[in-house]
Amino acid sequence: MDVKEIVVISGKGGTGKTTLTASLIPYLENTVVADCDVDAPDLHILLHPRLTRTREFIGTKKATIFSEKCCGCGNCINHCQFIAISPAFIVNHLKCEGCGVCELVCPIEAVSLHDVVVGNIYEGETPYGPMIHAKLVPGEETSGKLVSEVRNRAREVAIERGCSNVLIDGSPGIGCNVISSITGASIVLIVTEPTLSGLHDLKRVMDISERFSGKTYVVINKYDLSLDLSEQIEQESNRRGHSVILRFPFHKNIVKAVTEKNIPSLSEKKLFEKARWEDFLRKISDGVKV
Amino acid sequence: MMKIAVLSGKGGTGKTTVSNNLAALNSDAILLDCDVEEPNSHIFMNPRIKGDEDVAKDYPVIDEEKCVHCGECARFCHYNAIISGPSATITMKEICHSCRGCALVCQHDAITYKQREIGKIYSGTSRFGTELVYGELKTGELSGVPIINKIREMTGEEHSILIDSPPGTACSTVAAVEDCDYALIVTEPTPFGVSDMKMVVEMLRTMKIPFSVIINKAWLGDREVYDYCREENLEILGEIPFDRDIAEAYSTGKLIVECDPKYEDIFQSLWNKIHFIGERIHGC
Amino acid sequence: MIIALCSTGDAMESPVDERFGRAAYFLFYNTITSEMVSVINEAKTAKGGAGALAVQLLVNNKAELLIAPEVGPQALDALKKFKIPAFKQGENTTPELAVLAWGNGSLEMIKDPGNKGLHKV
Ligand code: SF4
Ligand code: SF4
Ligand code: SF4
Ligand code: SF4
Repeated sequence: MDVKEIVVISGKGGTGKTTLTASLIPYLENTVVADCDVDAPDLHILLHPRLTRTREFIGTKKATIFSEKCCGCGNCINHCQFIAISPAFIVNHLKCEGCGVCELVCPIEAVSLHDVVVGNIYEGETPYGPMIHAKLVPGEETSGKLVSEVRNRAREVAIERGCSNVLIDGSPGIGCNVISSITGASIVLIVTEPTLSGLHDLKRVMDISERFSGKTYVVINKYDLSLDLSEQIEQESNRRGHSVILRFPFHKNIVKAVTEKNIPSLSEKKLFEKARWEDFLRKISDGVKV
Repeated sequence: MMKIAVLSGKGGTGKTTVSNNLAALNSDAILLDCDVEEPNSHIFMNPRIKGDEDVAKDYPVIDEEKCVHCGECARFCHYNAIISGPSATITMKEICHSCRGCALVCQHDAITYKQREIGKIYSGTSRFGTELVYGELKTGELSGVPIINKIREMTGEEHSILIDSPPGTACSTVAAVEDCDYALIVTEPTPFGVSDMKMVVEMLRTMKIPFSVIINKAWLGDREVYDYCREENLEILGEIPFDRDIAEAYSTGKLIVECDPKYEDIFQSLWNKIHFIGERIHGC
Repeated sequence: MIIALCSTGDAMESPVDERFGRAAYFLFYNTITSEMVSVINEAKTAKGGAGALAVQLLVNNKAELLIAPEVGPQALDALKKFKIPAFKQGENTTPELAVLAWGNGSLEMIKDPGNKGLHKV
């Protein structure tokens, strides 16, 4: 069965990506939710999933030097391109990339690589359907793979449960994680805000989205903080052929809803109606159909 | 002098606001924008760029004449960046991590390395007189760590260094924060802020870097973050109130210290406190 | 000729897999002897470059042709270098049907990477 993936990303953080994703969820039927913001997974705070399964994700290998064996020849230090081995022959796990070169050059097998857990993957049930999220172990690097794993698992669950959509809270930024969260998605929703930095990042994120996925839509959050910049965002989006399908005003009640751990679109229905939330939902569901 | 990293659990909490306002008030400090995926400091600091430098990464090139397609290199590469078959051996430079291991295993001396550009570093003097160095990762590249490492190497010990680090706790944050003397976590008083900040706290504790907390958009949310800091015994070094005027000024690339003199005092006192702590813990 | 196929199971009648790099199994079907060898795709859970590792698996098993849902740009480049043409499995639901369709000449060749780029997926 064909599962459509809708990904919400933002480039710059703090634009309201998670708030928007959470707000969409109650309005999407047959949907599995995947939180791919593995550095800062926040969606579960609003959705309160009941966890049904937790497992560790082994994403990389790291080297360890056995000091009893090591003869101190220094080969490993000289060859490690990541400067991960200290003069005292201790591997700094925050810097080791698991390339295996030290193991290769050690004359007496005093170094070996071992698997490392880089994160945990959680599966759970929310009132709106299944949800998968993950948490990266702080300082670990393989978030791209963890993101792929969350996405893949969400697809699998969607197929098992006969759901037609996966809604993904994507990662911030434009690096490895984002690419992993949007590659091959049917729809990418970019949430931006009318600031110079927002505009700057939007351009970079659009580059990625155009390269790696299907249709791109733009949402301007807090659009009334600068009508001028909102206009510029609109022009930039149109120039590239992406439509702005929601403009949301700045309102303290949204922060209040989040603070009370509520889904804003449910607790602040009026605000959402005023921002033409229905139109927005329709455009998304039209986009999914094509 | 002190090296101070400014970080946050997620983007948009005001990390750039804190580092840039501090830098604007202290023109003898150097600001390093290590958030190479989303460098924003140049928007506020508006530097006159004096120089730029390419950052490149190694990738292997196989000499067809010498290669016997034994496949040793492909079996070694931990990232599967080499494919070897009876008729050809090819490398995938996008996947390569530049560990230089493949050349070591090749018995036929068939592998050499070339360099490809993954980003740029710019440096210049900001409109406040503060030096700014910032890096930019090319779109589609996987890791900004080599750029961050290079930015960190470029500065000496004579000046106080302020580092705008990448948000979160991934590899690039570790690279930006490594061997800093002190760190400031910028967070906001919402459940998201608390949750995201916990991971940063854990990372800094593992790295044994002393730190304190700055609460941005203070009073916009609830008390959870204050309670958390009390439980964990974390010092709250300062609070930046939420102010709609600030948000509007920010959107046009202005710093808060330019909007209202009372913020000058807030940031100057922050700076003094940081240095006071620095003297206490490092004697520097 | 040996044809490589992406499958969710180890038989020609198993459902096809919708992914290339992370397909559960690769089936290698020999059109001359009608023999089939199934190989679990280690790349499914591999660390880096799953697509690249899958190509390596194809090369190791002497595949001469690939039938897949789609192929990312890096893997497609690699396939070209190893002279393994790739065809779209399209609507065919099992490897068996896909081979038959290929025999009828009704499969389309993959010339452009699917998904506009498969990053580490
Ligand atoms: S595995 Fe590679 S990165 Fe890690 S310590 Fe060894 S040589 Fe360095
Ligand atoms: S190469 Fe082996 S023996 Fe030599 S210093 Fe490193 S760990 Fe010790
Ligand atoms: S190890 Fe050297 S000779 Fe062997 S396949 Fe690799 S490049 Fe060719
Ligand atoms: S340099 Fe290292 S990562 Fe790159 S291809 Fe060679 S072995 Fe693989």
